Amino acid sequence: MQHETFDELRASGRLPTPPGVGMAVLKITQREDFSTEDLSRAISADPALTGRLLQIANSATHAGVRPATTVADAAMRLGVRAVRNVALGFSLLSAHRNGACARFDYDRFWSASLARAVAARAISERLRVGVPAEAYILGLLADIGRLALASVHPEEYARILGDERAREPMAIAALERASFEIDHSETAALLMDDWGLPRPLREAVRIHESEERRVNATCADTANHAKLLAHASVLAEVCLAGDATAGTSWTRLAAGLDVVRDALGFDRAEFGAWCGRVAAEWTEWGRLLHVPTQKVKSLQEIHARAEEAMAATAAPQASQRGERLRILAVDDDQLSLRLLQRELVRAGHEVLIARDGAEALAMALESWPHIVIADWMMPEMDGLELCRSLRRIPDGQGIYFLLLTGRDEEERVIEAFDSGVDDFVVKPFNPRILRARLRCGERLFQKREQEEQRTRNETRSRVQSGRRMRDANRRANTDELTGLYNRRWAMEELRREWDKALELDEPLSVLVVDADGFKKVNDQHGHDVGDVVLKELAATLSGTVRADEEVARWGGEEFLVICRNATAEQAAICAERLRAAVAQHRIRSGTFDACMTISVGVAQADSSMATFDALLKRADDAVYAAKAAGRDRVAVDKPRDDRAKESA
Amino acid sequence: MQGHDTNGSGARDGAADAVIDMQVIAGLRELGGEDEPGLLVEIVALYLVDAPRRLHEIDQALASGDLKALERAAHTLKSSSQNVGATGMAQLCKRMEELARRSEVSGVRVLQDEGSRHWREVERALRSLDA
Repeated sequence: MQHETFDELRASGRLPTPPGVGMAVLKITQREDFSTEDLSRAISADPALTGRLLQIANSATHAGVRPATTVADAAMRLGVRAVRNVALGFSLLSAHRNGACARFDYDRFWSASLARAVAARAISERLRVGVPAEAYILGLLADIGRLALASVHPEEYARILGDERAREPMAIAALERASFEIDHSETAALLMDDWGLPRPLREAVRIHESEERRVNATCADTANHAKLLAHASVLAEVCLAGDATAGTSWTRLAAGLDVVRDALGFDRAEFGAWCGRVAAEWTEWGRLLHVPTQKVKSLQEIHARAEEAMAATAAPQASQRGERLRILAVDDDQLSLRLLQRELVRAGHEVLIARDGAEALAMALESWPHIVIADWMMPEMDGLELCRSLRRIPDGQGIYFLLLTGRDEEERVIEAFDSGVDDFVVKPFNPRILRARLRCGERLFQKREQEEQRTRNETRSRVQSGRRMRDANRRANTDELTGLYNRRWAMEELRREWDKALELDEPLSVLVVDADGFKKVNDQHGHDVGDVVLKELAATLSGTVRADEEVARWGGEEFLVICRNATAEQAAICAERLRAAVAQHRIRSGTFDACMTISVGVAQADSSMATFDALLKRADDAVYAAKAAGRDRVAVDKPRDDRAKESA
Repeated sequence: MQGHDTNGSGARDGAADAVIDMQVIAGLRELGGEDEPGLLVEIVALYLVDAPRRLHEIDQALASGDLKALERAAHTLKSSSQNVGATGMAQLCKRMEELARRSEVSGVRVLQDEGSRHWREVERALRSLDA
């Protein structure tokens, strides 16, 4: 049905068409057998168009590549199709800079289209979707449907634009369909068909504004280009955002920007810089094409405005963290007081009231409000005196003091500040100004709280970082599975003990503990069970050793026990304790249900050992002996001199 | 209200012409909102009690020559008149305040006469409001 409607539009003769060169280019490329020379000749006839084509051909950031200087160069770089579409796009722009529709803002239309074009090109480059130069034209022409409809039906379209419901694309599209039985996206797609643009691009234009249509896209190329256009549209909106933009638009923009940033894979800083480049490109192109541009708001500013807008819409409630302030309102005029109280309650705060300065002072000392709002002129104790009295009290320094003043009291403002007043509200007060002043006070509070919190945190973190360093050390020295010290630590510790034993001339012994039949456990019951067995073994060992004995995991199923200041006899007793404890400890896990046993080798450091490695070796030999003798036993290494005696 | 311009958006040259600024009244209605729909009535009622008291204070202050007291009363009445949209009354009070500060007693007296007369119109306008 749209095709029939479109035929009608075409029949009006008022659809935008590329003039002169653009039309020539179209005609040439519609032929089967056209040559690049024909194309080059046609475009070169228009120097302005040529210039723009070359500008675009050289936009891509390729270092060390000779710039394109002729149309043929551009054709080689971009491809003939892209060149044709670029020529088309630019000639449309120059021919339809203005039009017949009264309410249609042609300047703004092309300004936005250009921004979208530049953004689309940059996104295409970044995401490697499509040909960047083509993405440019796609962005430029995506909205051409609106211009087309406005050209064919200027009065009707003006009426639509005047409709207050026409706030955003989807709404406008609905109004268009109601009036013309076709909307601008569909029109644009059909126009692009006339101009020979490829199907995925046309489809992308048709669907890019509608979430529903995008979701049903069947072709990946289409979907990618549609997404590209959607992102580019957000950026175009950012470029055109100004002080007139409504609060809700800022929040929508900020959210949209986050989506784009995510899609492009940037962090905040990179994205800011990238957007800056897009904005600069837009300005440059604007100059070239005589399209107005403006200074683009920075990302920070947009986010700031969005936050402000969110805070403003939440104004009836207290601040976003749900902080209700306690506010003391003081005024001798009952009527004013009632109004002030109502405003504050409506803003979501807890309100206390007082009729004069003295009453206010008493209440403040009792309930410690965050903020005091007081009228200046009051009998007995006026606002300034109240403020001075409060400030004299140490805790009264922190209260945020707002003074209500009449317009004619403004010259005495200095006197007020000298008394310690924080800020003013002029009566009769504008509720928004009152709220702004309150927010100020609130922020001051939060800042003070944060500072207090920070000093508290600093002390805490100093303690913590000491602990953290110790923890980090421990992690490097701990065996993950069993929680015991690991081999690395054991080596270090043994070295330390060895040196100490030498220096102090104290005995030093080690036990090497080897779990009996562990491989069989793994084979028969699985490694998970094996892990549990090891963990329980480790726990038994570390639970049985005494203060001067240190257990570490030495290897797969091996453990090392360092017995400080212990002779072989003493170490052997320790070893026996361990053997008995393990043999009595029943381990149940999965299919395993039994007691494990260990073979323990004991060795004492003696003068025949050059280093502690020798000590370890002797303990190892002892384990071997214990295994050979039947397992589940302790074997003590015989010192050299004893061995010599034996063999003698 | 025949012959009186109770709508503040009408011609308003000269402070004494405007009796009640209806935008202020609308604002008060909105301030009450849904949780305090009686706010407007409450405020107007407060004013209808308070204003005569202030005017009486001004009378007494003039009689006793206590210009400070007069200044204070005029200041307060100015403020509350602004709050209910009695802009004409507020203007009168403002001028009274200034003159009292400058000790121009005779000037104050003239304004006070005007004030009493104006008060009757203000009162009538306020009582005829459909809150």
